[in-house]
Amino acid sequence: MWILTRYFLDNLFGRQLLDEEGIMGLRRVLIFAATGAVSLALYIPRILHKKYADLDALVGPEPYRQAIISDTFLMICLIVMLAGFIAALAAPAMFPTEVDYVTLTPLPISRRRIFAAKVAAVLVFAGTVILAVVFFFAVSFPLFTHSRWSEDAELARIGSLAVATAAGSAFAFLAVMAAQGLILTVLPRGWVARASMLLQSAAIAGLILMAPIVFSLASPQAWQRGWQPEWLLFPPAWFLGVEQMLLGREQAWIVTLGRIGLIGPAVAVSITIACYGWLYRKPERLASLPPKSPETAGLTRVQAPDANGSRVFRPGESLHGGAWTAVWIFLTSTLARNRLPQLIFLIAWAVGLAFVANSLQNGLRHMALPDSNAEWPMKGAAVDMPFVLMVLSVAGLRAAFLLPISLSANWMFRVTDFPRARAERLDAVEQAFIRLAILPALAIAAPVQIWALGAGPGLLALMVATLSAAVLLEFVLIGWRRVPFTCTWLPGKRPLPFALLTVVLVYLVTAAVAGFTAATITRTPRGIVGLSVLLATVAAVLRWARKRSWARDPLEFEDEPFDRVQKLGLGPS
Amino acid sequence: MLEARRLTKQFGGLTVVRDVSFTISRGEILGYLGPNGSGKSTTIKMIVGLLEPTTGAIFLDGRDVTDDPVTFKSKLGYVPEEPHLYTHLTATEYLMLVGRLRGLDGARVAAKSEELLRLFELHDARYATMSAYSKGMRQRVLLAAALLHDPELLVLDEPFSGLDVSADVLFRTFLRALADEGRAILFSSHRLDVVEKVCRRVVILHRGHVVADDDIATLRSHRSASLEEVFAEVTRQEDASATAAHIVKVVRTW
Repeated sequence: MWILTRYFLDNLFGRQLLDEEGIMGLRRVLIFAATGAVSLALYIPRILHKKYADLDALVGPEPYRQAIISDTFLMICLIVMLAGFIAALAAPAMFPTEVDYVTLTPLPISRRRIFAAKVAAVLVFAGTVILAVVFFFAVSFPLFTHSRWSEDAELARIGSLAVATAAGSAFAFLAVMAAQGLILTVLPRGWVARASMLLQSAAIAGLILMAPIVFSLASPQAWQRGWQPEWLLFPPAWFLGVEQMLLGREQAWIVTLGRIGLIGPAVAVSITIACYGWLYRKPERLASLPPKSPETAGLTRVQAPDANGSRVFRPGESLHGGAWTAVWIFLTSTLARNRLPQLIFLIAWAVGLAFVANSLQNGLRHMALPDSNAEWPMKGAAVDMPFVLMVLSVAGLRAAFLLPISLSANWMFRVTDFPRARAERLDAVEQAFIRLAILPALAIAAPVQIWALGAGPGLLALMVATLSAAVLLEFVLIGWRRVPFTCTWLPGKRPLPFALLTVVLVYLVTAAVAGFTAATITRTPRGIVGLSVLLATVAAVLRWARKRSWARDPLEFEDEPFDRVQKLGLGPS
Repeated sequence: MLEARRLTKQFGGLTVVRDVSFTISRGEILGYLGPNGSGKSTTIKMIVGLLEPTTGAIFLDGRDVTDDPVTFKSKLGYVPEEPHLYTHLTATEYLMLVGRLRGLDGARVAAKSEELLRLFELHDARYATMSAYSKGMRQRVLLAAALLHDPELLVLDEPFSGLDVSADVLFRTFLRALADEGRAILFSSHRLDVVEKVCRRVVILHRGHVVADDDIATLRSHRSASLEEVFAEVTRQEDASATAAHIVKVVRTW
């Protein structure tokens, strides 16, 4: 059974997407990301230590007590959200999948053993994650926040936080599992794949969007207001109740939260067990329906084409050629119906929206202050808004487009790679960046900018953002010669300094343009006009060069390592 | 119509196809045979432009196809060996995609797709994504896609794999009808019984070489044997019963 459990563990995150070279590349990227996260995590104790040393030096306990409860709340929230994020990534593999059903059922392995191995794999995985977060955060947090004003013994604080965070993390896992289980057991079989994909995307995007709410609820100002009924609707808050109950607090709101914190995981685990039991009895639900008739196929069917045979045909598209429409429909359908690219794109949007929500919230808070400069944070947030949304959504869409989907099927694009239609195909990619990333970002930002800056400055800021979007688009499309999803993918192929340089460059240029706009928008419109002319010129020149290369260069279907051959320049020139 | 002239393909130091030459005339269905790993699919991929020959050339009506690959591709219909297609699309969406990529008019592609799907018995499942299709259903979609643009040259790599008996009969008859209209068809298959019924001439490949290129009737009369026996002889197949006995022996060993 251990072999089967290991197989399930290895495949929790859909490893089949990449070949060996791709896995190596992904490993490099993950190691880099993990190193960054650990470095950041190591910095947090320093901040906490300094903060609590200062509080310790104060003459009264009240500032310490307010700080410790808000920080404990923040810590629990972050841990529960981290566990939820990891659980959502692995959500589709938390029950036996169709592939498991098809490949393992004919083998001489009992159904009981398959289900037991799957449960074991999920338990090992969830247990490892929970133990890791409890060990790193729940044990270290009380040590770094120690103070003479503390009402509880160190060991009691460590124990109660460990229990609360373990329960919270387990709840996060169980909630995702229960939701996935309900999808598998309750929904019509034809809906399962889409609903599962929707659950995963919504859970991850929701968790990211929750970040500003967490920071807002955990702020000392929020705690000064005391108990808020909306905490009941915010699951991480339940586990603060558990932690406080274990420390012996008996206020009514703590007991209410604590009880819900105990009932929540119990309900989730009951649903999960029930779903596992149901699927064990009816494993055929794991298999897809064969589309033998419209009635049985009806649940997996997509919208019928219109008279022109186009699923998403709109009047404007008739202006484009067949290759444009073909690629446009292909890439939008692929993005809508495939888990990983959709997830990456939505995560990028969610991160952008979370950043924006955070700075707008900060702006609103300052506006309430009796200060002559109280409006500036909101104005700054409004100017920055489209830049943040555009950069992140464009980067997310680009990353999604680079992923290969059904790579062996790309022969169809290769045998129809006619030079006269090549630019048209790539124009569809350009439109995708404009319609799925840039235009929505500008549309979301426009009313906020006009409201925060006033009509005239707001429209000027929007113009600068639009022209910056044109430059950003050209920057992203430099050297782009592929139909999305049809090319092999080699993660981490560029040298790290080059990748970092690109990020820094985009950040610096964006920050400079946004900063200049924020500083001059209400004072010197002439400066804005000058900046706009500069941006328009840069965009026009880059666009001209791109259009020339698109009509000339062949499409690519293989991702080549960056500078595969490095010339040392040792020979005679 | 189509001539493959001294095609050679090397991957690293390994020569997979060596000096392969053959021709297909209009109205002809040429059977392209060979054991697994003989280089059939590699030759076909070179013909349709998915691989570049290391040496050699392909000519269409006497012109090197690399001189005008667009015209060549617009006359070519291709069914790959495996049913590789975008299974997150519906059959209708897939045919629309192929038609548009080939530069065909959207409304006409829609009408033709509808009709082809009806004739290929896929109409009822046309709005379902192909992820739930059987191998035979996917194969039919690929055949429909290869025929959308009324090609003059059809390159079919194991086109009947996964098809049931009735579809098999229908498509065999249909291929003959296409050839009778003057289309050239390169038909690669492992199924000698089908090849014998559909083709008049065969090219047999073994370890990257052409080992036979003749009419089936001539091959059979020279060797006084069935096509299967001719195939076994020219590809130096071992005695099947001896090999089978050996396999049984290995299976029993524990």
